[in-house]
Amino acid sequence: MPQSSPGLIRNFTVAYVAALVLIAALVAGSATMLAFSTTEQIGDSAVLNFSGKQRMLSQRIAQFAQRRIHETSNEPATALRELANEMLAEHEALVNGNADLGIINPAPPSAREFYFDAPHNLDDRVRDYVANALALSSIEDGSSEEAARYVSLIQDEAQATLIDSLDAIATHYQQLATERINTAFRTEIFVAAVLIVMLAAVGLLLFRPLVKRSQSDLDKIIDLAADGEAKEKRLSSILETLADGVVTIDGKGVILSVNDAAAKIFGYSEEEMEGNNFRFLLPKSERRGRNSFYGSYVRDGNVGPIQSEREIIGRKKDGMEFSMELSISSLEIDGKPVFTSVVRDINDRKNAEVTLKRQAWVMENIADAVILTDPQGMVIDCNSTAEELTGYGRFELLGTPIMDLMVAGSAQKRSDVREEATSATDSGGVWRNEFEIRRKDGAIRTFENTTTGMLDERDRLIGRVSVNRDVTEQREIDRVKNEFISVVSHELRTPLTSIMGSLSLIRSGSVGELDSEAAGMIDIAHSNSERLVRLINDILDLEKIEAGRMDFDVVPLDAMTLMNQAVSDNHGFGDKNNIELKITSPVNNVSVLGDADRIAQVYANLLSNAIKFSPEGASVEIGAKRLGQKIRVWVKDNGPGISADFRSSIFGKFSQEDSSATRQQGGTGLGLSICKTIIDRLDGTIGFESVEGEGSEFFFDLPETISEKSDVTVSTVGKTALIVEDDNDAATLLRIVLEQMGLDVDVALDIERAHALVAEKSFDVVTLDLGLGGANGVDLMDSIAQSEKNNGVPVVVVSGRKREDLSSGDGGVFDLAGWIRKPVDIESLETVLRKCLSIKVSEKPRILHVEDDPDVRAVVQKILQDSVEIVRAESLAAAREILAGPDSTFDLILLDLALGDGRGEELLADLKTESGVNIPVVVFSANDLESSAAIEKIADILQKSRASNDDLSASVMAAILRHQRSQADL
Amino acid sequence: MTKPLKKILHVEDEPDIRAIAKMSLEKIGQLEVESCASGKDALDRIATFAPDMVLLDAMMPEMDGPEVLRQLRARDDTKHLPIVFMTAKIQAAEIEEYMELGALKVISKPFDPMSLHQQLKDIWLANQD
Repeated sequence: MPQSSPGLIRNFTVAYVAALVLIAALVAGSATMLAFSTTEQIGDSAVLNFSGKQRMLSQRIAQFAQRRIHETSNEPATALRELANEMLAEHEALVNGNADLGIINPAPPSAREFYFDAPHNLDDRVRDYVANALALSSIEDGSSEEAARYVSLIQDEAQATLIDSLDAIATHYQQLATERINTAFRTEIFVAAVLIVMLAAVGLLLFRPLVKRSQSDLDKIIDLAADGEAKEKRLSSILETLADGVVTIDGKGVILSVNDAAAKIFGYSEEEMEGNNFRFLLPKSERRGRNSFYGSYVRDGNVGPIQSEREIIGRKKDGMEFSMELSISSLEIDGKPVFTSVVRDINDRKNAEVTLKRQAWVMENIADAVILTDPQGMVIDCNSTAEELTGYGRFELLGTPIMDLMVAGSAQKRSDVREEATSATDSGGVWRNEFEIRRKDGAIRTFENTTTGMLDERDRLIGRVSVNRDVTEQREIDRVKNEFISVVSHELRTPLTSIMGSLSLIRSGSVGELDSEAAGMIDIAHSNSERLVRLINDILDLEKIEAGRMDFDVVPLDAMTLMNQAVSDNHGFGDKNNIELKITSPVNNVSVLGDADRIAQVYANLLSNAIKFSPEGASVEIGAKRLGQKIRVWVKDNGPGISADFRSSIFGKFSQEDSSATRQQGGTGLGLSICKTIIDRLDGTIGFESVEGEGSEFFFDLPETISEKSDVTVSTVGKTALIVEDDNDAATLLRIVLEQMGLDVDVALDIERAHALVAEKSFDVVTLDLGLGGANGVDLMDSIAQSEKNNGVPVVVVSGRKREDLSSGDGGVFDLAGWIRKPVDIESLETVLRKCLSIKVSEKPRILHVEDDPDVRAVVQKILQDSVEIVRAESLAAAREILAGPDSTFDLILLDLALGDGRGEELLADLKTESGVNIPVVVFSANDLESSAAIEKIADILQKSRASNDDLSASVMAAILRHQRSQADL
Repeated sequence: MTKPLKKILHVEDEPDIRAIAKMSLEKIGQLEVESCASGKDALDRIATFAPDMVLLDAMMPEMDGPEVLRQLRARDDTKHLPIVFMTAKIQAAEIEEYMELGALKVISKPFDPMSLHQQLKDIWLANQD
């Protein structure tokens, strides 16, 4: 304190004395005021009492006046006299003052005004009234006319005006009393406020250096004191605008009043609530003991807050129960307790609290590290798993860009990860990745991370949630598993190589002839070792699937060939289990796009499952049908069906319905998983239908090949083939096979000869050995593609190499018709060749394009030339001529409407009569159709400038396909 | 006309497989086969036998197939010798490794003894171009 001691003491003394004097003056002043108003109050109360008594007397006089004219006894007359005299005496005392009666002398001027001035002039009236009453009492004959007149004066006029005036006086004095009480109350408040101010001022003077800042607080207090009155006035309006409900009830629990908010909270109107017992606002479970609770209060008579705050359940009008916070205080009015309850609906808050608790519980109990960051990547929150998995404590994590810092590897790697994650999630996206992080203790762990951007309601980034799972062990297990599979398969292959090799040599007779029984046994051993190899291959395939490295050779395949092959591949297994494989629903002339080996793998899995789960002696049904653009193939058994539990996981890896059953059936749990992956890769779908106890039907849908006509029905006789093969023996073999198919065959043993033949002669199919030198083979394909005679001829590669070995360095990917591996499997060679011959150039769909604009003709030619053969007509007349000519077979007409010599629609009418068949028409025009009658003959309408090249191509091909199908059905 | 394939040096640690391959190639393929039980054995005898082609296992104790290939490529007399792997280690990455080292082809085990000779002859012919 900077001030010197004496100064301080002097200040203190002055302030203290001044304050005491002021306080004393105030207390004395207020006491005098109170004493004065108390005296006044007593006087006024006496006036009130007397006016009340006069009222009572006047009423009794009126009663006895009535009785005076009906009764003959003296009693009414006597009573009238006494009452009249008493009333007069009281009146005199009231007007003139009477200390004995407590009336201040004289009555206050305001009271005198009431008495002697118009309109009341109570003095005259009272005296008239009393005079009338006395007169009535002194009349001898109560039934006389005169008596009746007095009675009517008393009853009708005097009494009525008298009572009104007395009531007016009572009201007046009541008002005076209320005003006085209010004045006293305000005075008290004022005195109290001034006292507080004084004390505060003393305190301030004493401790000014310490509380300088409080000066403004002091001002506020003074303001508040001055505001006291206004506050009081505002009270009622505050009550109504309060968000909290206010309910007052009496000692019996009856609701006295409610405010708007209370009514709103409970859903009742104020009228519905007031006057009822408050218990109807509580659910039954909460009602017990409530009344006694208040009751006990009433008995004990404790005034003051009973229960400061508590939570109970309330019940709304609609029956909904909700949490409410209740604070109750009590006060006594006229000696009776009144409870004021403040009610707050905290249901939303409670619900939010519960939700928050739940979320916090989830956050703390999941095995993933959850890290919340702000838009800049700084950690703003994390769960305890985050601490565990990173090794950092919560407070080390908060405020740091932790994921950036922890990503293991170079600074570049860290910034790459950050860049990728932020840009992917900036607008609320989800980013998934896997990366290594460095824990606080230096250990490297693999995290699977999902980062999501959080946006506010205006789509602004407010932060990110990063959910991290430690997958280190899982990845290690994967790695070990793959390594294990690789080693095991190698270790299995080595002995199998010996077994299969020996058996093959024995079967071939190279080491001596066997009798037929021994040969049969050797066959069994051989075919089973082949099976074993397939099994190992399956396991390896799965590994490839997992690594995304499975090779597919997708070509058109005949559906029935595949199905027959599947049955013959698997009937041995069926025989062993006494299960017959039956093709119950064949489809002819249908080809699907797929990889023959992979589809065989799918068949093998589905059929072996069906066989395994069929009861002995049953049969497995196989069929196919067309389903939109796809071909559905199904395999149906009468087994136990698939349990509901297992259905969702049936295509999962290592998925086994019942491990004991699986062991018994010898499955690996991989089969259906492999099937699904294969079919997915072939753009197909796989599924099943099953009824428990009745059987299962597995199906797969594969895209149908566009080429409609089946190889099976195509005659290959007379067609020409070129064999390009430098190995004489191989060439000879190929020649024999092709000639047996009825083909006219040329052989080129070297590439020069091949080039020459391609240039001079037209072939229907070419087989090419790429082994004669990659570049040379590719050259030949180039020259075939460019040659006039053989442009578009299907080329089948016959090679020792696998298709996938043809790297891009060998000249890129060619549109090959097929790939046959050496050693040549004759059956698949034949299949591929038949396929090729069915889709050779001359059997491209043929369309007639009617169009007068040469530019459009040229563009359409360019768009469609790869898939169709186009004949062009530049006018209506030219089109008619072509259609009437010898070569008028078209698969489709592409038609412009506005032609130089007429409307395209005119041609539609001619079509049926001239060609005899319904040729599909696709309109390609800038105009709309003029006649709707023609519309049914039109397959599709394309608007020039609106339709894209792909639209045009797709529309034309679809219409042709539909047409060919309907033709095939005929 | 190209020179026909005649002499094969087969390097393989498994005696059973050596026997089967030898029988297959000699009896069915009419080829002359020299079998070696290890990479070292092969390197020692290759000059004397002077094969047209080497058929090489990959996984062998002490000196594996790729190492044998590297050493053959390093020697003047065997620098251009056609080498074909015949192995059960046929994962894509493994095959790629053999091809990069200069193998002509990889034949997977189990192999077909009936067509092994033909496969080798195809490879031989393809390589003659």
